[in-house]
Amino acid sequence: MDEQRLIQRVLAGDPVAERALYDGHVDRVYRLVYRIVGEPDRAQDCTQETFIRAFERLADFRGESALGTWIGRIAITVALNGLRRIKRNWNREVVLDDAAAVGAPAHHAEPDLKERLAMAIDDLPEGYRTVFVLHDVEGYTHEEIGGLLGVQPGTSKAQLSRARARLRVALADFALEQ
Amino acid sequence: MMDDRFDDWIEEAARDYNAPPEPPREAMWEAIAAARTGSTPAVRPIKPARRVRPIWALPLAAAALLLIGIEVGRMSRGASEPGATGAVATTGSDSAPARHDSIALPPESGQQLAQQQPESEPASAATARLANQSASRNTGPAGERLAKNELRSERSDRAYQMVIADYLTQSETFLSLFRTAVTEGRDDRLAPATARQLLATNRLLLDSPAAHDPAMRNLLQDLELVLAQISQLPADSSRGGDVRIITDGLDQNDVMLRLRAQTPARVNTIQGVL
Repeated sequence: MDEQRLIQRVLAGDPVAERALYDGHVDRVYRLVYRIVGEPDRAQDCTQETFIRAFERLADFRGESALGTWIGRIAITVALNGLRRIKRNWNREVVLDDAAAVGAPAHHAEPDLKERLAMAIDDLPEGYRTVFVLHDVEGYTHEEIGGLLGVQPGTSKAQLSRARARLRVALADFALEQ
Repeated sequence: MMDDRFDDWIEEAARDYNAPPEPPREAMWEAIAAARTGSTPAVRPIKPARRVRPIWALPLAAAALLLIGIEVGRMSRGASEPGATGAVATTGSDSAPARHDSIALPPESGQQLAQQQPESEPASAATARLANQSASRNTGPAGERLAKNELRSERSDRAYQMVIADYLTQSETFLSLFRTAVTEGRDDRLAPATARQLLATNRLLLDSPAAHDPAMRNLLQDLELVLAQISQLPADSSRGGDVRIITDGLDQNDVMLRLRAQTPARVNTIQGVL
């Protein structure tokens, strides 16, 4: 179904269209917020809140970006606000254990490195961490990140460069071994 | 060269960072549908401000708060000085208070009020009651000192309650006005300056005994974050995203609701004191 038509049907109160909109974006939204919040219950809460807000504000959507980008922007705002609320006091080790249990490890990084890297990413400033996760972990382009975060692609590149520089410092001993 | 290799190495290792499981699609959809039908609204709308004051009232209110803070500081300093007589007034001493005339009670007035209003027990009555209890328990110089200390402590607590109630009322008004200005697209260039003033008071309160209550401390910390964000808002047109983050933060942390929940109770308490 055409995106514009889908939006019109949702605005008209069509429950089938609402479910179609949800199905079309839920996997991406959940994946995105999970990468940011790193915990299943919180990711579920953020995803739900993202769609509740998206449905509430759909009438304000002007089509200046793709619907997916617009929803993604809401998702990131919700996830970052959620993280601020809990003051980032979640337990890194528990999250890693959960992630290892359900995720398929497709790469061959050493467990110790993965844990050190995860902690170093957690310690990044919020802006650096978000761009790093979107670019290096989720594979978004700088243009897409600019659309999601409401910044210029150049800003995204600069943030990524600074994030990597910080990780290099944090993992300097691993770099020397390579 | 070395950096490029390391970046590739990090990029590969980072792909397992917060690896998401299969999303619980149906469970989430049911929760969304339930929230949208209104059974349990997940995102509670913030009602418009109940009282609308002109924007210039906020700096005036901040100045008034500052004066109250200075007076509290003077009172605390006076109470900690040996020989200060403000508290002695309520114990029936003949000597008049040397300072804080507006707060210290004349001799015997506390006892009279305690007899007249036994149910509501305003500040003066409570003060007299406490003084009498302490005096009856402990006679002699040691008992008098204990009574004085208790009176100082109680008076100090009330002073902090007054300041914090005033501060929370101002913060609520300011945030309501800010939100309304944002919603209606009105000019709010004064907002960062007012936020800075409130932020300064917030940090003083966070370091004060008023923040010993965990709920109050959490509220003050959430307020601190919001006020810090508003105080750093740029004046140009690039602020749209920042404003959205601030208003979303207000929604998500229920700051306004918690402020309103705290304010009436504390204002009533203060009215009882006065």
